Amino acid sequence: MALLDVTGVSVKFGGNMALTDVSLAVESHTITGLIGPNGAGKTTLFNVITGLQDPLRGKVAMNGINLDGFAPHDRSQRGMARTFQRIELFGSLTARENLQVGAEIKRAWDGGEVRAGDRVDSAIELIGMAPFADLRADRLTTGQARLVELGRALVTRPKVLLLDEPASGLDADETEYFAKILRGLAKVGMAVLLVEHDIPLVMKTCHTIYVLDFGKVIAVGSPAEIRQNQLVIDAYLGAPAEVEA
Amino acid sequence: MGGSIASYPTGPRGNGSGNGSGALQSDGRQVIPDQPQPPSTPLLELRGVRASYGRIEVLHGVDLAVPAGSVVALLGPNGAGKTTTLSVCSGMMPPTAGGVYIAGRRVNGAKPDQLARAGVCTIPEGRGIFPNLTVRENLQMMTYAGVSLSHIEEAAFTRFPRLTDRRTQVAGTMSGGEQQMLAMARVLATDPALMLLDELSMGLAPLVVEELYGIVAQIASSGISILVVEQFARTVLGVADVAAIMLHGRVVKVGHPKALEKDLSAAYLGADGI
Amino acid sequence: MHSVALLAQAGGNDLFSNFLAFTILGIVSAAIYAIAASGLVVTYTTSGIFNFAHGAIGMMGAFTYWQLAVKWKWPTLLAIAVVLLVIAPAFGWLIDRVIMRGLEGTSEVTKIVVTIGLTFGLIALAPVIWSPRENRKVQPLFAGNKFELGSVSITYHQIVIIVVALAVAVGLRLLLYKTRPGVSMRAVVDSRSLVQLNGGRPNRSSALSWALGCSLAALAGILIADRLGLEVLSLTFLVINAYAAAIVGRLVSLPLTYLGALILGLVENYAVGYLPTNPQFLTDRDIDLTTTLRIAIPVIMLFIVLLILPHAPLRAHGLQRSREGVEKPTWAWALVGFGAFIVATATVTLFLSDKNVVSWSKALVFALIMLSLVPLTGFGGQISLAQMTFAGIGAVTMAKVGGESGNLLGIVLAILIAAAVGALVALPALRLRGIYLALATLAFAFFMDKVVFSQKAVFENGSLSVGRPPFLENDRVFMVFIAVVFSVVGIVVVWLRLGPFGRRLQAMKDSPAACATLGLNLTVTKLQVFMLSAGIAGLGGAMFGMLQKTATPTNFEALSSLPILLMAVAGGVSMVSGALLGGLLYGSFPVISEAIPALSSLLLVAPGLIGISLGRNPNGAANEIGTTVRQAIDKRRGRIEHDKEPSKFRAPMEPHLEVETLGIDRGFGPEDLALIDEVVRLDEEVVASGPP
Repeated sequence: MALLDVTGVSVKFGGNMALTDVSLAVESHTITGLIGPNGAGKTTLFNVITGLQDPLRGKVAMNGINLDGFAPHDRSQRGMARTFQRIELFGSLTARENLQVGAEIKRAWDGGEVRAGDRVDSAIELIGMAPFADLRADRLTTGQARLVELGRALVTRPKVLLLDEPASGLDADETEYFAKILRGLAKVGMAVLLVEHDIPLVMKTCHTIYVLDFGKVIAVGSPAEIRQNQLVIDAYLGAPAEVEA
Repeated sequence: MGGSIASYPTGPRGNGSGNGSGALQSDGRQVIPDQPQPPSTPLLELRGVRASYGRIEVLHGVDLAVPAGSVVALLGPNGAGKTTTLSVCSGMMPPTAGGVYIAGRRVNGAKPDQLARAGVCTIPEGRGIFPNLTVRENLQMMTYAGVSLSHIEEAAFTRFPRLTDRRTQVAGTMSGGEQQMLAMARVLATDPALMLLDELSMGLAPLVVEELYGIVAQIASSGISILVVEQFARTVLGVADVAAIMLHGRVVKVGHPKALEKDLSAAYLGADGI
Repeated sequence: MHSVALLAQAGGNDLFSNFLAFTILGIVSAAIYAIAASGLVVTYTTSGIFNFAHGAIGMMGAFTYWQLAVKWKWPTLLAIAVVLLVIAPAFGWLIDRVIMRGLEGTSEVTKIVVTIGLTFGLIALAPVIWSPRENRKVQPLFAGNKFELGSVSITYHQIVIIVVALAVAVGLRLLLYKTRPGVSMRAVVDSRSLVQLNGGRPNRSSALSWALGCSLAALAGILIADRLGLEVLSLTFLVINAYAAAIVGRLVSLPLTYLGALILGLVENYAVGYLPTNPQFLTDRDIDLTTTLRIAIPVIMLFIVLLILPHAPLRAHGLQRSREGVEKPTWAWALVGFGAFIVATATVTLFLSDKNVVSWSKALVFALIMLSLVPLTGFGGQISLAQMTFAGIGAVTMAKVGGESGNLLGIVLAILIAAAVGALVALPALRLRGIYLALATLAFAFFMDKVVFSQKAVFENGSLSVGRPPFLENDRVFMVFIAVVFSVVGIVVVWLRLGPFGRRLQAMKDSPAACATLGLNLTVTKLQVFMLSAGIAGLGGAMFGMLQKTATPTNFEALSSLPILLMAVAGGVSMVSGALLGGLLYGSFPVISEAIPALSSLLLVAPGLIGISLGRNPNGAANEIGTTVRQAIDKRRGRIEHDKEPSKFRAPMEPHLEVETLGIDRGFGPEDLALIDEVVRLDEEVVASGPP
C-alpha cells in the first residue's frame, strides 16, 4: 500500500475515453513522473485524484482509505495539494497573500502550532519569491506565478503534492533551482507526482516514471528503462514517417 | 487552385484595389533586396510579428513564410509560441507589432471570420468541431465559407465514408479520429487557399495520426498551402516541404526537413520529447 | 383571481368538470410560462447573460401592444405583428448592441447587475410613458368567443395561447436545428472562436438571440395582459414563474423548460382548486395561508428545484486578467476616513433643515444596507437581491422587540434573526453557481413581500411603530448615531478585508477550484458571508425603522432591493467608501427631485441607467475617485509614478526594423545555434548522468 493509490481509473468525455483503466502508486520520499504527449490525459488524472472530476470507474485511495465521495476540500485536508497547468492563482491578491490564504485555510482546519505567517515566510524563503512577494498575482510572469502556486500548495503541508507542468515557463536557472526544491521535498518525506514536459527535468529528478498515452499507461519504470522503451519513443514521436517527401 | 484570397477585397489598410498587391509586392522586394528571387509572393508571410497576452510578450519578432502551394511545419517545444503564431495568422490574436501578409496583403487586424470567408481555413488545437452539434450540423457550419451544404456533404462523405452513417450523431460522441476527420472535412469541402493546422495529433493513437497525415499530404498535393504546428516531429516531417523551429517566441531555424531531421530530433527531444 | 371565474364557468360541483377546468387553466398558464421561459433560455445559452429584465421587456411589449391596438385602434393582428416582429426584436438588438457587447471581460456580478439595471430602468420608465392614472384594459383575443367541452367552456383566447406555445416550441426547434442561423446560435455555445474560424459571426448570433428573446418576452406579455391587467409590476414579475420553469431545464434545455412550465401551471391551478382553506387556529392569529400560499407556488417550486439540481463541478479556468479589482484599504486611510465622516455628519446636522436631516439620514441608512453587500458581492462575488427584505426582517424585529422605548436588544436580535433567515434562504443555492443564488434571493424577496409581510400578524394594520431609546429621540443626534453605526460596521468590514476571512472571500471569487484544493469548504464560506451580509442588512432595517419611527411593508417590497444593489455597485461595491457613496447618491435623488420637480422622472430612471452603464466602469465611482486622489497626492509628494503597465510592448503597428535582417531565408546567427546547442547538450548531459 503506497501513500497514494490510483486503481483502475477510467474517465469518459463524450464518446472518448480520456482515461482507460489507469493505475499508479506514489510513495512518500519519492518523486514520481507522469509524462506523455499533450492530450494524453495527465491533467484529467490530476482532476480525478483531487476530486474535481468524478471517474467513470476506479478509485483513489490515500493511506489505504478510499477517497470515493470525498469533496476536493476533504481530500486536501487529508494531505493532498496540487498546482494547475493553467495557473489558478488568486489574481486580485498579492503573491504573499496567495500563500497566506493557503496557510490560513490549513490552520483553520487543523489548528496547527505554527503561525500561518511563519509558514508563509519560510515558504517564501524556500522558493525564493521574496523579490515579487508583494506584487499582485495577475501581474507576475509565468515563471514567478508557477513558483507562487508551488508555494501556496506547500504551505498546506501536504503529504502528497501533485504538480501539473510546474516548470513550463521557467527559465533554465529557475528550472535548475526548482529541481533542487523538488529533491528537497522528497527528502523530507513528501510524495511528489510530477506532470512535466521538460523531459530532462523529469529524467533528472524522478525515481519512477509513468508514461500515459491516449489515456492508457503504456510504460512504467526507472528513467533509464523509460528511455529505452520503444513504445514510449513512438508515443512521443509518432510512428516513423512513412510518407517520404 | 481555388480560394478567394486573390480577390480578398479589404485589408485593414487597403481600401479596395488601389494599393493592392503590386505596391505590397514591390514593398516586399525592397525589404529583401538581393535574395535569390522567390518564385512569387509567399501566400502567408509574417514579418517581425510580436504578440502578447496581457503584459507578457510571447512572440518576440517572428519571421516566417509559407510559399504558395507548400507545406511548412512549425515545430518546437511547449511554450515556444507555435500556437500563438497560428492564432496571429488566423486573426484570433492581433499582433502588437510587425505584419501579417496573406497573398501579399497586409491583414493585421482582420477579423478571423473575414479571413475564414476569404479562404483561410484554420483547424485549431483540440478538434476543430462543435461537440454538441450533429455531424450534419457541423457540416452546415462550414457553409459560411461560401460553399453549399450539398457540396460539402458530398465532399465529406466521399472522402470519409465512415461519417455517412454518423450524419445525425452528436459529434462529441464520436471517436477522436472521427472528430478530427470531420474537422478536416472543412478543408476538403471548402477548398481554401491556406490551411492552418494546429496539433492535429493531440491525443490520438499513432495509427490514426498517420492516416490523418495521409490526408494532409493529399490536400497539399492539390495545391493548398499549409502551415502546420505539430509536436509529432517525425510524422510531420514526411509531409513538409519546409520545417521551422521555434524557441522562446522566435523562429530560430528554417530549412529542408531532411537536412533538419537529425538536428531537429536532438533539439526537439531535448526540450520536449524524451 | 381568474380561476374563480372559471369555477363558475365549470358549472356546478361536478367533480370531473372541476378537475377538467383546472387542468385546462393549468395548461393555459403553463403555455404562457413556457413562452416566457423559452425566451430566457435562448438568450442565456447563446449570449451567456441571464436576462433579469426579461419580464420587464415583456411588460413593455404588453404596454406597446395596448398603445397600438387600443389607443391608436390599429387592427389587432397588425399591432401584434408590429410589436413581435419589429419593435421587440429591434429593442433586443439595441440591448445587445449598446449594452451587452461592452460586457466582455467583466465578472458575472457585473453582467447580472447590468440586466437588473435594465429591469429597474424599464419599470421606472413605463409609468413615465404610460401614466398610471389612466385606466387601461386589453381585451382577450376573439373576446367573447368560446366553445363548450363537456360542461367546461374554453375561450378562443385560451386556445390561441396553447396553440401559440406549441408553435413556439416547434418553431424554436426548427430554427435551432434546421437553419444555419439557429445552428450557429448553438455552435456559439460550444465554441465562439471556432464559429469565427468557420467564417460565422458570433456577434450576429448573440444579437439574434436577444431579438428572439425580447420577441418571446413580448409575446408572453401580450397574451397574459388581459388576465393580469396592464400593471407594471405584476407583468414584470410574471417572469419569476418563468425562472422556475427555466430552472427545471437548468437554464439550457428547452424541452425540460416546457415540462417545468407544465408542472408549474398545473400545480398552481390545482392548488387554487384543491388546497384546503385556512385552519381556524391560524386565522385567529391573523395569518392567512389560503391566498398567499397559492401566490407563492412558483417560488416554492423554484426552491425545491434548486435543492434537487445536481452539484455543478468545479472547473479550473486559468488565471483571469479581469478589468475589475480595486486596491486594498489601509488602516490609516480607513480610520481617518471614518473619523472625518462622523465629524462631517455631526457638523452637517447643524445646518440642515428638519426635513433634510431625515432625508439625509435615510441616505446613510441606505448606505448601511449597501455596506452589507461589500463583503458578499464586493469581496465574495456573490449576489443577493433580497437585502431590503432582510432589512424588513430587521425592522419588524426591532419594532416587536424594541417596543416603545427602543430597547437596543432589538437591534441585536434584528441582526441575528436576519442572519438566520439568510442562512435558510441561501443554503439550497450555495452549492450552485452564482446566478442561482441571485435567483433564489429574488424569489425569497418576492415570497416575503407577497406572503409574509402582507400578513396581519406581521405588520398588523399595514404599519408598525418603531421606538427609539430616549437619548436618540432627537433627529440630529440620531443622524450622528447612524454615522457611528456605519463607521463601526465599516471598520469591521475593513478588518475582515485585511484579515484571513476577507482574503479567503477574495480567493474564492478568483478561483473556487484552487480554494477547494487548498482545503476550503466553499459552501460553508459562502454561507458565512451570506449570513454576515443578511445580518448587516437586518441592522440597517432596524435603523431604518427607528429613523422613520414606523415600518411599512412598502418600504421593503421585493423591488426595493434592486436599486440597493445597483447603487452599491455603481458607488463601488468592493469598498466601504463605495457603499457610502452609493447610499448618498441614492438618498440624494428624492432631495433633488423635490428641489427640481422637472427632474423627478429622470431620477426615477437613474438607478437603472447607472446600472446599465456599469459595463464601462465595473469598479464603481469610489474607486475612480480614490485612484485620482491617491495619484494627486503621490504627485504632490513628488513620488515617482511607477507605471503599472510597462509601455515597451505598446510598439506602433509598423513593420519591425529587423525585417531587413531576419526573415525566412536568412542564415542562422551564432546566437540561434547556441540556443539549440544548449538544448542538445542538456539532453546529452542527462543521458550521461542519469537520474540521481
